[in-house]
Amino acid sequence: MNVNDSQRQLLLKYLDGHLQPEEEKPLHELLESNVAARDFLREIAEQAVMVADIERMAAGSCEVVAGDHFITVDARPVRNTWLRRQLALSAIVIVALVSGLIYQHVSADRQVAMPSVIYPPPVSDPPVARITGLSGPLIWRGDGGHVVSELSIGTELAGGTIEGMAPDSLFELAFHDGSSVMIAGVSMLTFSDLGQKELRLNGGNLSASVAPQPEGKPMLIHTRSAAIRVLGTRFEIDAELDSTALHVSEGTVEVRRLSDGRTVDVPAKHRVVATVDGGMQLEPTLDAVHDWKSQLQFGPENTYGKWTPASSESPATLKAIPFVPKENTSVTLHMLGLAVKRADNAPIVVLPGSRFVVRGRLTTATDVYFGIWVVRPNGEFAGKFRCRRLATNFRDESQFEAVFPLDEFGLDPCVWDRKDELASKPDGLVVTGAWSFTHAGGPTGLEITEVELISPDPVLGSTKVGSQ
Amino acid sequence: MVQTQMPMSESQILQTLMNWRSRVSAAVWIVVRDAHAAEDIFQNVALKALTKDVTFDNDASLLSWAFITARREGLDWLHRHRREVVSLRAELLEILERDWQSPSHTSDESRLGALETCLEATPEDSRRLLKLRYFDGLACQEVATKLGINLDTIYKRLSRLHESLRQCIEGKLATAKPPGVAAQ
Repeated sequence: MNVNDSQRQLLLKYLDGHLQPEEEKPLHELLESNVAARDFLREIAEQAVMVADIERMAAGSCEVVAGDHFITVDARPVRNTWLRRQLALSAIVIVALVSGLIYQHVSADRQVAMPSVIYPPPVSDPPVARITGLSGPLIWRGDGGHVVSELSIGTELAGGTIEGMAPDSLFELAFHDGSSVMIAGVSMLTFSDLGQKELRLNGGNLSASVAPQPEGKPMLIHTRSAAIRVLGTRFEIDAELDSTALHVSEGTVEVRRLSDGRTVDVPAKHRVVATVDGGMQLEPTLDAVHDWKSQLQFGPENTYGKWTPASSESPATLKAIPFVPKENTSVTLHMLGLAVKRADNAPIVVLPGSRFVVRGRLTTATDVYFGIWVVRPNGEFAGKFRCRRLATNFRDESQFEAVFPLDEFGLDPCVWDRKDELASKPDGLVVTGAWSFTHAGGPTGLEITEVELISPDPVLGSTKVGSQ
Repeated sequence: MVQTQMPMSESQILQTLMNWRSRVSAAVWIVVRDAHAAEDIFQNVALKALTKDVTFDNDASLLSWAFITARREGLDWLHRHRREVVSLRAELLEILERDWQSPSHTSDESRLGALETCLEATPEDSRRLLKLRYFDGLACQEVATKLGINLDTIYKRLSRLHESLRQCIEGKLATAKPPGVAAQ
């Protein structure tokens, strides 16, 4: 028995809540007597939930899938739902794992493994902090080196190490006294609070807002090159292998260079860079600038992707590498990223009318996404925004110059769940990082040679060049 | 299908539920008409299956429980959200649930992959129609207004679209199936 077009429309009307009273009886008779009609009703419902799934994935790869979620975004309940789903999935995984289960689901069709995780978090130590924000790929190691890659907001942690694995990674932690710290991008932070908060930033970017600490027990932050004592303030740290840059927004922070023990108190609106063998000069925070140009020829520092030095035939390039967003493990993006900062560390502020110009090459024409991290002047995370250029703007095996006007950037879907506390637009905020990716089901050969931020008003910009 | 009399392990429960995720969610969607709520309810059902004091001897008992629990949660959701939906009679919903537990069900992963492939070959305006209706959750009248076409046309287009996607999905699944292998 088949189902004809008018019967299918009757089912659709019913599902739309638009059935007339006189149509109810024929509908029930149809469903009771016709297996094909029941099958079609199921088909509509399954397609409905799968279409929503696919759209969610497309939106979620924003997050880099987060790239998945980019762009024409209307922040309906979708994001909340997606988040809840993630939380629930995490819960399922954790519950299953606590029971000793190592579950691995492998799709024969796609050769994709999901979900991935592994050991339950230990529950022996009392929690000292709670996760208040996260996005992008992160790995948590608790006591004993137990690894958990499925984290959720609200989870209480007892201390351990969190590692941001990609340019769009973000992890925000609130201690029980109200102090908060956040790492962004490819960073690694170890923390504990055994009566005194102690953090170790092994690399990357950390910003913090620290509540007044108990007498004689300042928050201690260690990097490879400096030790920092904090009594209560707002500040930001960029830690590299041989240097630590500290920018203080409020209060005073003491920094001690490990190589010679020299100590400097850094007051509000000042910065200092402690290097292993260089100076340690206290400087006022510079006025903002509104233009910037990447300098990939200087090396791969603070980049994400495969860096290739310049040759006689081509400039230095940064090539996108495969990246699997945790929100959607069936998706593989090809992503690259770089820090947006200048050699003089002047804050780089984007303005209405600013535009980013990305120069590079694609082997396969496809949609190209470009995103930025922005923070408020006090270093507080303000959001991730992104923009897309359609495949029609590119050609196979060709170089490109793509313009991404700031006016077209939308809040990255991977931070939708926090949209009430984040900026609605990046205008007037400090940009600290940028990334680009393609989502084409395979490599597209995306590589960039330069990213440039152009001020809407040449007078406002500056001709200084920055570094990665 | 798991055919053991031993209680299913948590990994078996999880695996079965994940294989049936879209179908259970679809059964909820029939009740709540909201894809995101349906997904949430499925997750709740999965959590209950793992955390509540309930055991399952095989896939059939698990799925029977899951469909019933999902339907109840769906009705509860409607009540909590004060949504008025003209629902099918309870006995008809039970018939549907029995149909839907057919052992010939193809795994979720395969169906989702097939639908994704089929959608890639679907015209942009049709994909937009599906997105507005099922992801954005708009009623057909709202979709019609947004697209500037009349309501009857929306029903006709959806009817044809669902049917062509059904045929496409079945074609993809049949092609993917190794020769001589019957449906499980």
